[in-house]
Amino acid sequence: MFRFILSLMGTLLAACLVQLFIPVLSVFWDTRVLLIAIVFLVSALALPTPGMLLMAFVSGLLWDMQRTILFPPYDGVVYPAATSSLPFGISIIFFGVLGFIVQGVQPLFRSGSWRVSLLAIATCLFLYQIIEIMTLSFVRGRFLLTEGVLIRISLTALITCLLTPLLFWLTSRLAEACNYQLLTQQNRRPARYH
Amino acid sequence: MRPLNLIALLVFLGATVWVFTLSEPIVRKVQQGFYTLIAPILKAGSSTEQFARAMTQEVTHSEDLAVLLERAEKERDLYKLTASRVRALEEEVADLRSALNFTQQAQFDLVPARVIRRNPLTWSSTVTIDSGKNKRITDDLPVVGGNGGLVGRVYNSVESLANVLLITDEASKVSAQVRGSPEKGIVTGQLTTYGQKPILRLLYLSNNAALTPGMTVSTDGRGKLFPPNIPIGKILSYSSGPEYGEAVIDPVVDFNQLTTIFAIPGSAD
Repeated sequence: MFRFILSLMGTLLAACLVQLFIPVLSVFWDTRVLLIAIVFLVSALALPTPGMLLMAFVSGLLWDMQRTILFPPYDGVVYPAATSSLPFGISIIFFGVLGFIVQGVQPLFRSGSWRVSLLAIATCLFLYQIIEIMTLSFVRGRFLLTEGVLIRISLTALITCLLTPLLFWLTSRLAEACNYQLLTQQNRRPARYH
Repeated sequence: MRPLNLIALLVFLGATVWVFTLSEPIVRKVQQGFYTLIAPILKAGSSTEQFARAMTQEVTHSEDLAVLLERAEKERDLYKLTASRVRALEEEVADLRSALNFTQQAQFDLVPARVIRRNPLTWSSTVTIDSGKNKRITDDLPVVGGNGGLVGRVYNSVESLANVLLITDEASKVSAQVRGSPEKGIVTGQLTTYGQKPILRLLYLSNNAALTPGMTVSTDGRGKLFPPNIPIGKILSYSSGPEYGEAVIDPVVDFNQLTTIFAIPGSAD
């Protein structure tokens, strides 16, 4: 299992690098492909809880290293209200919570039912962005979830989850290479994911 | 819950609390290390984004041309395509001339940089530029556009690249004044979605401010973050609230077309 976790960690780092090459899809309501999030969610499906938590920690850290914007404190006399933003490390918690949610369908995933798993991942991608924008609304004291934002969130979840079958295939290949039993023994049927 | 899972959860929570307690300088160092590592990849990635943008523009352009194709012969269309490319080049030359002219006329020492990545973050308005500390672009420097309008502020600058928080971001705050009026306030951005033109909000104005659409808003130099008299935008509307008045501003910079920006070294306090 250790080798499998390491290989998934490698995939996560590769996803972090590939993410840099993916532009904002301006023709589709400024949607984005959340590669780090989807690699984490697929890993969460394949791994037991300790492995999932380790992946959540690394994914959250990688995401927040890019996301967090830090400035020295503003002059309090000139600027009456401090700038509120999501703190460094919050994504670790978000990923952890989503990891537990997605692990709810892990028995189905392990039995080879990929459709329900795909639906769970799409839902989690949607939830992840909703949690993020709602937390941001809370800290800024302004409701930011408008219709346009909701469309963008939905399309981002939809476009990102199109990569799920590819990642399922990649995960099953990695599991095979690492001798990790991804499917439960009684459900091991060839050519389910590949 | 299995004992191993419980232990893993406790370790996870402990590690997360540790991350939350990291001081800002340490987080900044971690981020700078990360950006230094990815800088070469990021620069390579920017060419992919530029290619994708060019493709998108080409697709839109082809749609326009398809209408014309129905009316004209193939040979004539070829000339039209060539002409359109020439027009694009002319616009590019005009932009560069304007930028060059601005550099020569500006009262500040300016360092030009090219935008290599737009809006990489989901809920923030930022861009990444291809110059950093190697070109004297350090954290907190103000950034202006080719027309002299305020663009934003540098953060997370490393040796060969830097990020800029645009003034259209909700987290951005700029101390500003309305020209031809005693009114001063704080300009902040607003989250926009697809198809919306970025607009700014001027907060903390007097409740009975005599402001009319078209009045110019510029930096006032308070707080020493931004030098005074950098144009920000023009007032679109003004509304008074229970405590303060608020104005909506149309920025002078076209944030959708940012290609070259200029940092003002030596201006950060």
